[in-house]
Amino acid sequence: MTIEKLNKKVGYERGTTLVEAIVVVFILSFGLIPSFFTVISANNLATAIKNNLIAANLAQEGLEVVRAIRDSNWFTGNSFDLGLGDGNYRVVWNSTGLLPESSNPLLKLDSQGLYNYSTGTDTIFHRRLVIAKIDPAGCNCELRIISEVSWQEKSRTKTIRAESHLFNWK
Amino acid sequence: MFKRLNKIFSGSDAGFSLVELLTALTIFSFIILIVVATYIQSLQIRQRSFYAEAIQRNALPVLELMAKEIRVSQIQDQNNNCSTDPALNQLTIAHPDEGTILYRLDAQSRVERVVGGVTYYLSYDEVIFNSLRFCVAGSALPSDDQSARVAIIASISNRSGKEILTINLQTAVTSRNINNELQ
Repeated sequence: MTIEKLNKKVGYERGTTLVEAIVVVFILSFGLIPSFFTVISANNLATAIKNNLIAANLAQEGLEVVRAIRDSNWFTGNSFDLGLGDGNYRVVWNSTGLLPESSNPLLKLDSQGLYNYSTGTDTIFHRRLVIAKIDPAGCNCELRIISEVSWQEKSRTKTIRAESHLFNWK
Repeated sequence: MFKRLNKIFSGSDAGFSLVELLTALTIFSFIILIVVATYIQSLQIRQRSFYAEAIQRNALPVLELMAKEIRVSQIQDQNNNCSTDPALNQLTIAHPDEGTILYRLDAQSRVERVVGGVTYYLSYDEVIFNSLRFCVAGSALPSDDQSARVAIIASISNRSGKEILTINLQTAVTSRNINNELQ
C-alpha cells in the first residue's frame, strides 16, 4: 500500500458524530444494566436465604404448638378441638392456648435469642395461625392448621406457609 | 518519504488539545472508578451469599436431626420457661433406640451430639454457633397434662471473612412420646 493510499484511507476519515457516540453509549449501557441487576439480585439472595430460613422454622414452631394443645386436650379428657375454633390466632413457643390475632404485632427477639411478643427488639416477622375445621361428613374429626410467617423484603411482602392437618384419631 | 509521513500524520490533522485530553481522562477515570467499585461490591455481596448458604447448609441438618430425635424421645431436662429462667445450654433426651443423647456446643462452638460416651459433630468449621439454647415445657413429673415441648434457639454466623453474617433461628418441637402423661 503506498503512502498516498494510506493518506486517502486514514488521513481524511471523518470523526465520530454525536449520534454515533450516543448509540455506542446506549449499547454499552444495555450491556451494563444486566450486570447491575446481577449484583442487586445477589444481594437479595443472601437476605432471602436468611429470612426464609428463620421464617420456615418459625412456621414449623406454630404447627407444633397447636399440635401440643390438641394433645393436651386429649390428656385432660376434653374434645380434641377445645380452644381450637375456626379463626386467626397467634402463639409463642410455650402457649397452652391460642392468643387472639388482634393487630398481629411483630415478633420480638430477646437477649437469649427467643422470639416472643413481650420483650426484646422488634424483628421483621409476623406469624399468624389460621385454623379451620374440616368436617366432611359431620365427623368433627379434622382440623386444618396453616402457619403463616410474613415479612417485608425490599418493599415486598413475602410469606411462608406451612400446613398441617390434625385428626381426632384417639 | 519521512516528509510525506510527517504530512500524513501531523500535517493536516490536528491532535487532541490538552483540555480535551484532560476531559477525556477525567470521564474515563470516573467510569473506571464506578466499574471497579461495583465489581468490588459485587464480590462482597457474592461472599455474603456464600456465608448465608453455609449457615443454611449447617443449620438445616442440625435442626432436622434434633427435631427428629426429640419427637420420639422423652425429655430429661426439667421445665425451663426461658423468661424468668435462663435458657438451657444443653439438652438431654432419652431416645428409645439410642439411649441418652446430649446436645451442646463444644469449645470451638460446634454442635456436638453425645451418645453412649461417643461424640458426633453435627456442624462444620465453616460456621460458628454463637449460642445453642433450649427451653423446655411440659416435662414436669407428675404429668402436667402437656406434651413435652422444646424450643431450640440458635445463633449462627460464618466463622471467617470480612463481614460476619448472623442468623438467629428458633423452632419448637413437641415430643410424641407421652409416657409421662400416661403415668
